[in-house]
Amino acid sequence: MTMNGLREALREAAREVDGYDVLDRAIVGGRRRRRVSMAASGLAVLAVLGLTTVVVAPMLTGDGRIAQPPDVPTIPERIGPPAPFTRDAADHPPGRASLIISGHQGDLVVVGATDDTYRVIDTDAEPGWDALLSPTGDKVAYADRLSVRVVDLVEGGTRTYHPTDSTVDAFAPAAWLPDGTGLVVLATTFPDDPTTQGIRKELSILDLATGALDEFAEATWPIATPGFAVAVSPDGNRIAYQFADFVTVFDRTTRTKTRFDLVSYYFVLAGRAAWAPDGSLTLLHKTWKKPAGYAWELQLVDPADGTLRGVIPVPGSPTVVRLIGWSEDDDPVVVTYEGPYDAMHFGPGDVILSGFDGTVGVARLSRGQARVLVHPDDRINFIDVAEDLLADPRTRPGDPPWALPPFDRVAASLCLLTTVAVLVAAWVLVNRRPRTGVTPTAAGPDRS
Amino acid sequence: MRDDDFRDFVRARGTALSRTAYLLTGDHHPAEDLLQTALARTYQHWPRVRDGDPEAYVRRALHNTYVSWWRRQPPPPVAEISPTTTDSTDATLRRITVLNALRALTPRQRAVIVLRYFEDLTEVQAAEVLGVTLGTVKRLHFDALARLRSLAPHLIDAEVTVP
Repeated sequence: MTMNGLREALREAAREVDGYDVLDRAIVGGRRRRRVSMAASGLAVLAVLGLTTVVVAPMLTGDGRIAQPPDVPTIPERIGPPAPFTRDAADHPPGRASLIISGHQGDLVVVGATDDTYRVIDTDAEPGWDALLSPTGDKVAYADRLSVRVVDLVEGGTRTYHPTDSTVDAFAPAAWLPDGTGLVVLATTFPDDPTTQGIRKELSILDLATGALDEFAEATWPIATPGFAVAVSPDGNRIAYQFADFVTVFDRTTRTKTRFDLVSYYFVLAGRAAWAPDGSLTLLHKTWKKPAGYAWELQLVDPADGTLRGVIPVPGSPTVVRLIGWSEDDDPVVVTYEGPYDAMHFGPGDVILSGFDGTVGVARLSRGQARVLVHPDDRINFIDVAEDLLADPRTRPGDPPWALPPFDRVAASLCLLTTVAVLVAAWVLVNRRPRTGVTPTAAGPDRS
Repeated sequence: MRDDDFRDFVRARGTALSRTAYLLTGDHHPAEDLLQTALARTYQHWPRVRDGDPEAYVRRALHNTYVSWWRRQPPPPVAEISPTTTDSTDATLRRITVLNALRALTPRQRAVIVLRYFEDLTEVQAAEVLGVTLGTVKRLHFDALARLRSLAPHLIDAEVTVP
């Protein structure tokens, strides 16, 4: 088969073309392509530089790939929201955490203890309220509708614990046991008839190994605000909790209870670290003063009868403070909340910081001064710190993934989007089909 | 200097390249567009291209642009070309037959036929131009000939005496 017939037919068909006069148009088109290509190359370089500085570098540092020198657990002074696509804490465990944080728009964020490894947990539970970091920083417990979930930050994975009573309407962690083997959990059951009083609350100890619940308190009194309601003594043997305007201390060994009344609704258990190093219980008290209006003080009281033993003033006039630990020098460490919320009344049952939209910080109160340990990004509204780190609170500078302030971040994002749009437009310009003739078609009469 | 070289090249090889473009598209207007785009791409890289084999570069641009265009926007259904009363010679009939037959091929099959039987390239050279493997060219070639044989058997099997 020689294919001479096909060859000759092709040549005969081609001979009807004398040559198209496209030289000048091709040169014009080639020049335009060259200009667009050069501009696109320049923009591509800018885009790469922008991406590197705005996205990649923060993600690298935020993901802990640039490790901090010491391998000692420390508290980051600066923290912020996670970078996009930050990995899940349960699937990619970061190791022990120094703190957990969250803002109004975003998941719960775990920040590593020895470097700025960031991980996320898909929940809207709020750190310090219904999401609690264990004392050693190896686990996070949080409320998930009718269950309590515990994420293991060292081994990975999540365990889910349910209440034994199927009528329970809410189940949430209230405090960690100091050794991390269990949690004090709060089960809430609403009455069938919503017009009646009597929301039932049960406090139990949840054994994480077995899932067993040991109920030690039940009441229809209003319970104090989450984050303040329950405190476990450092030896794990005594649990103080507040219903209404009285505080009860439960002894786990003898299973006995003692109780004392608070002077007024302007007192509340000071937080999870309400047990002071000297064995006193710490209450948070709102006082009135001029001209600031009000101030806070920590009152140390006898856990047996509430007798006042001492007072530690809180500098400034924060919206409220929550006691989360004690240093080896017996200085209290508090989370400070600063925002528009009016905490005039934070009596039992009031969720005083629900919907809080202000800023938080962590400060060590020493000799009448508040030494700031952690100064989070403004977008962080809730924080909880591993209690063991507060005994000797060493800090590191911290390198949050999104170090840029909001305005710069928006500007950088706009630049990036513009650059991408220009690159796409350049590609379209370079590759578009010239419109010198009719719509391309293989049909129609030949021009001969 | 750049333009002079380029203009000289196009003036020398423009007709041959136009004919390749025409055989690929089967119509003059798209053929002009195709050639213009391929030459514009060549001009863009002319300082680098002119020291090598500019015609091979343009040919590669022609075929790749053609395949790319038709992949993005397939040609509409074709109407067969019919000979007019003045187009009644054997040569004319053969020309019309081959153009109609080519339109029944896929763009890549058509490109292979043009490269093999109009440009007289080997299958290896055709593969280089199209940027595909030799095996792909062999398959395209085989399928294209089978299609042409069913449409115009006399083009494939007939011995023709070239004048």
